[in-house]
Amino acid sequence: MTEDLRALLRAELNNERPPPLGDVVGAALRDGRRVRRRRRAGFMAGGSATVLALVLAGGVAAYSEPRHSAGVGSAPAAPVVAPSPAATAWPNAPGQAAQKATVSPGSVPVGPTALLTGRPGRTLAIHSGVDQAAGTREKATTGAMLHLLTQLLPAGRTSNAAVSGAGDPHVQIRLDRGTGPGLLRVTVGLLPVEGARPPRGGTATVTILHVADNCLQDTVAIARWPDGTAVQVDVASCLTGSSRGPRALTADEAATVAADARWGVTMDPDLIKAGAREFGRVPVLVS
Amino acid sequence: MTDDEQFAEFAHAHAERLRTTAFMLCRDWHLAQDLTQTALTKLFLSWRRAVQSDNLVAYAQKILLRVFLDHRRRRSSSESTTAVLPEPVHRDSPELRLTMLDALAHLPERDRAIVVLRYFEDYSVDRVADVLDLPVSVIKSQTRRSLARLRELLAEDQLALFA
Repeated sequence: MTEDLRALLRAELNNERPPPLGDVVGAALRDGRRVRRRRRAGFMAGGSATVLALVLAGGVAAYSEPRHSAGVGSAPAAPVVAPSPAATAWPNAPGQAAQKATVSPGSVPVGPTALLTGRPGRTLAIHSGVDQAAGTREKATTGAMLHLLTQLLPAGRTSNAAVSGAGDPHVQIRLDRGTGPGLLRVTVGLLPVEGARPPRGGTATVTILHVADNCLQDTVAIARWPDGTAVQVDVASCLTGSSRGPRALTADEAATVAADARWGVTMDPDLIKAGAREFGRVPVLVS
Repeated sequence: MTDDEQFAEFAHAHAERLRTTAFMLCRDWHLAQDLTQTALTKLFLSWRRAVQSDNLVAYAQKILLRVFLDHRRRRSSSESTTAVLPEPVHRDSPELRLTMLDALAHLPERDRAIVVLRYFEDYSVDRVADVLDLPVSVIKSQTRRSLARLRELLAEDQLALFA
């Protein structure tokens, strides 16, 4: 019976005149890739929001607690800033000599973020050398962020720059240091603080995290400043979520980029102008 | 070969078959094309999981059937239904008799899918149950009912097939 039924169905199908199949495969590929990009963008945004939320929680905890830790007695836990070979070897951009960063692993443990990751994180204090930005400041633009980021990156070929269209300023770029392109992203935000907002301050607290099961945030460096400014640098170990790639920066390098004093929700007008000139027409990320 | 290339190779090889199955379910070539494209998009998005399945074609068919049933479910909310179908006229007018495809269209969507998978794709009862996420007993009972319904609808000369 099965064979007869099948033969009958096939005979009837043979009498049909189906339209050409068309490019259903190409259309499916295009639709699928678009959906995948959207999902990834949503995932990335969710990941960034989660990390920033953790930082916010840590920041609030840090500001609400006395500035000393149990086990150290009553002595104030002043930041101990010591030079780090890894950080001082960082090639600074021209004009950045006065802001040379120094890194001291584990110098000022602040906040609970290190306990919240699958791989151990650490917190650093990085002294910028300036307590307050000089001159006038303008609202930060993604173009200025990209310009500053390319100034801070080590030697290599940059490509595929893109910026966020809404929300916190967010940029991404690929850096090829000779081993293939690696994806980097930077987000800048202003966290709430208790009471009156203090001045920017001269020392950033940088937390380095490794997000498990998210190759786009293989290494995350988040710099927090006393005035609530938060800068997050994501170093990916993949380009698209599936294809593995090299990490464009080490953890210390990412920390140094995040701790640069020129980041902020307001930035130097010269950076704004240079950013508009260089990156005024880069693609906008969709989410 | 990358995942995307593997998917494209598979899709090119099986798109026509998937569209034919979709057509047998919906009797509309253009809708069948849309259903096939949607199913292939979903397959693309779950490709890594799909390639780990025992039978990739069956996996794709499963997605297609779900796309079809979801489509019908969405449409049904805006359609009015009648309790009684019009009487078939084929018994008095042989030239107007229903074809098998027409008769299939008179079955509820899920029963239609069962018949297509069992008697066109030649799937076992177990595999149909797996594809449609239904118990084997339901597949068996619905198959019997569907064949009985087809008997009612089809002309005498086609009934020999069900003997």
